Amino acid sequence: MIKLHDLEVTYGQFVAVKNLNIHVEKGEFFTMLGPSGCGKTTTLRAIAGFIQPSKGTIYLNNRDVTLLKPEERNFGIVFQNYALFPHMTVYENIAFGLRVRREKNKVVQEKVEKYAEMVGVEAHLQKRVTALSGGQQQRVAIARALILEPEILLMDEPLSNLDAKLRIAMREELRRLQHSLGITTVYVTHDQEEALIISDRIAVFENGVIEQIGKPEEIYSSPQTESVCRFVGESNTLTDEFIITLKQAHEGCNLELGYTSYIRKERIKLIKKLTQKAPDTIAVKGSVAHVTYSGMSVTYRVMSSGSALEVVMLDNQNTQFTVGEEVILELDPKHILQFRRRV
Amino acid sequence: MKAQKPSFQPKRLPVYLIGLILIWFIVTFLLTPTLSMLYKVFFGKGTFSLDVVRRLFSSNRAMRSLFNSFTMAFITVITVNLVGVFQIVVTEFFEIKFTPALRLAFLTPLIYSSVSLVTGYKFVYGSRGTLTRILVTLFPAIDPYWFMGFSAVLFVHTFSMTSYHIIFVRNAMRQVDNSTIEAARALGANTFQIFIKIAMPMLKPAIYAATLMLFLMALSSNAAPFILGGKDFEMINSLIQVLNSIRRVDMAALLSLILGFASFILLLVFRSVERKGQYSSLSTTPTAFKKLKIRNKPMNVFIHLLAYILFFVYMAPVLMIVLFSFAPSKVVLTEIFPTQFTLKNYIDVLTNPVYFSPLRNSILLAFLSVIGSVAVALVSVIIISKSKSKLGTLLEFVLFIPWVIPASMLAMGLISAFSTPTPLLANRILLGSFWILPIGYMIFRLPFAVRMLSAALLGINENLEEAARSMGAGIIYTYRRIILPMLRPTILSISALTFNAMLAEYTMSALLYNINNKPLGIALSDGAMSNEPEQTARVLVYIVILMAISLVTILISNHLNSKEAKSR
Repeated sequence: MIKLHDLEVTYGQFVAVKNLNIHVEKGEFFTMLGPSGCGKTTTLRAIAGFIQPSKGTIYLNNRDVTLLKPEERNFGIVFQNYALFPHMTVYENIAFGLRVRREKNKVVQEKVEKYAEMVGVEAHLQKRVTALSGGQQQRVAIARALILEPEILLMDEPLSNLDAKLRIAMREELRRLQHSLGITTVYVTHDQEEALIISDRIAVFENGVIEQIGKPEEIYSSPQTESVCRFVGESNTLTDEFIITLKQAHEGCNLELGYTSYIRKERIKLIKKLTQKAPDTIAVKGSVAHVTYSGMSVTYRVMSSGSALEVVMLDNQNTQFTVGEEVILELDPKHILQFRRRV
Repeated sequence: MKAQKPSFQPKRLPVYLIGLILIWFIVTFLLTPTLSMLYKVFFGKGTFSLDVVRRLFSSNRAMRSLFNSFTMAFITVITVNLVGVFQIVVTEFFEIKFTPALRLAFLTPLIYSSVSLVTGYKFVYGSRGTLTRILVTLFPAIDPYWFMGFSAVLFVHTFSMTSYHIIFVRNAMRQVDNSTIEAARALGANTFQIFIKIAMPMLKPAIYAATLMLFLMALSSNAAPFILGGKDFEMINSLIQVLNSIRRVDMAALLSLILGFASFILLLVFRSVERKGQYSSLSTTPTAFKKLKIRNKPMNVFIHLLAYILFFVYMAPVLMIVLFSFAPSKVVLTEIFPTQFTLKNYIDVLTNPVYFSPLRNSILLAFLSVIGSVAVALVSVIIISKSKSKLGTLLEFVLFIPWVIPASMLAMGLISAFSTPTPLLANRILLGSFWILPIGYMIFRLPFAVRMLSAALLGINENLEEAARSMGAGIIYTYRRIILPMLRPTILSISALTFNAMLAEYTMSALLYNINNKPLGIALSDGAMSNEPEQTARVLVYIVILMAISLVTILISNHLNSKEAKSR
């Protein structure tokens, strides 16, 4: 559906993205994830045709569109700031694409009503877009992008201007809408949680290159590079001293020394007695240094073998630990992620 | 299946055509005049020569005019800052009774300036003027001919050149975050300490900006020294006008070049001051500034008194002009206060084609300069914003030529370039035709339009254009339906300001006008020099009509813009 082949974009001397190869399947929800300045938005804008790549080819639907103008590519786009036309009503904003095509008024009206209803702004059609709330503006922007029934929907951090609650609600709705329309979607975000929840597949960007492409669960549980591991999810860094302790505690442990090692915060469990330990796990001693309570979960900072480890556990009234308490850390060596140290 | 980029697209023909017209315009009206003038000064006799420079520098009269201009500009800066800052203080900072009336009086220079103001001031403060006669009755020691020469020019400058303060400094004052004032008060500062330590530093960048613009305006002042300077006080522009009228075009051009050079240096300073920027509020929720009471009683009375005297200085000429414009012409130069009223002066001006023509010409010229400067600026600004190559930067640079060149130098450039047939204009002679003036006005106002429009265009998020293009709109459709409507408020403001500024333009007009296009500015200065009561009466009518048109223009543009802002 969308194929980027050896794409490279440069701004003067600066190489924004390089050697980019992406293949997005029809109907897929594909997310480009990464910190700001990693090249994800640049890639999206190259797909849209707003910037010209310096190298490589872009195919949409097996058609080489690398040199085509944006208006010739047949995609819908939702911007971070929505880019609604402030001098037009909601109706006129949604209708804009049809007006460009000189559709008959009757067709325009039917379609505008259909898409307004789909996103839930049918009650506001005659209002100025500036009179709407952020969430409603977002919906108008989506309706406007969808009304031409494009083959591809591009979204550039569409939820980042919304408050936390609305963001969660909207991301569910986006997913639902995308599923029901089956539209191929390329989505840009820096929010890893959002990416994990919403996407079929994720490409993690860093410094203009793709570090890993995969399903959300692959990205999370088996990151292929250290930067993916650090960027997606929260991890503890393990010292060599800690790894040695683990190897001593468990004979068959095949962990290597001289690597950078990580473990996700929720992959460690605190227990009171060794008898509670599950098979195939390793147990080491530690003591609780700090407790942070955040409602659903509790984060403990535990000192063990010279490492300060953060452990996130669901708040369970029955097993609570207090500062200074001696505890046992239980972990599965399979969950330890090791990466060759960068020289 | 590789897509090919076509080299020529017939759909884009209008775009190419507009580009060609723009290039012709720039070469003909921006580059040719400037180069032609330089040529005339330094290569007048065919080879490079500094002869003109030598002659100019050995002329006492020219040297005196240079000295006068710079002295006048320096002193004007001081007096205008005193008056201008005082105006802002009494209308925006302290609680003063009848502030709306004060504000209205201090805004009069916006609707009445340049030659019409000079003419009006001469009418009330001149030797036979009402106010002078009242003053002489009250204080017999006053010389009835006091309104002449250096002091008269300084007087006019001081009270008419406060418009930059009213625009820049007032805005800065209004943006002062009230919580900073409250914080200072909580820390024990009194009202005057608050003004000196908190408000003034925040106004400083705006005051610097206003001061530099003011210096430029005073340096190239023309109507005031020409009408009020008399024999002994000449400034650069008034001398240029004299030199041009006696066909010493080369020396006039050199003088304008010197003025241009001084202005250029000042503009460089201006830009560096501007770049230092203004203090922006650190507060995420700024609160509106609330005016302070002056707690010290005698001080309060004194400031009030001073404010009302200033009100009188501003309003008296306006009121007198309006009153006398309705007086029978025979009493215009004799009575202190008119007792009979008539519409005859207005009927004369509006029905007699000879008297009506300057008014008609000026309205037409102002209108044409609005259309021309906005159209050229719009096309250029779009090209500049679209082109990432050096061509855009070059275009921007060329368009700012008139910004660094004073009006008199632009006019001298047009005179030297278009006094003979040129192939650029199909071998026509522009000088002496109607079109020389609208073209002059238009290039004079071009940088202003470019500046305002490019700022407005920068303010439009580029995602809007991209959104339109993603929905299939081509570039022209996008500009027509999205970008232009969003620029409309700016275009309206530019049009209103340009229209008003050109309605009574004087400096360019004095050098370029001819029988086909004699504008109001010239009619006014002719009238100011005349002692004939009927002509004086007509001048008063012109000024009243001018003020009315300017006021209506401002009100209409404000109304349209606020209506638009409300509906958003």
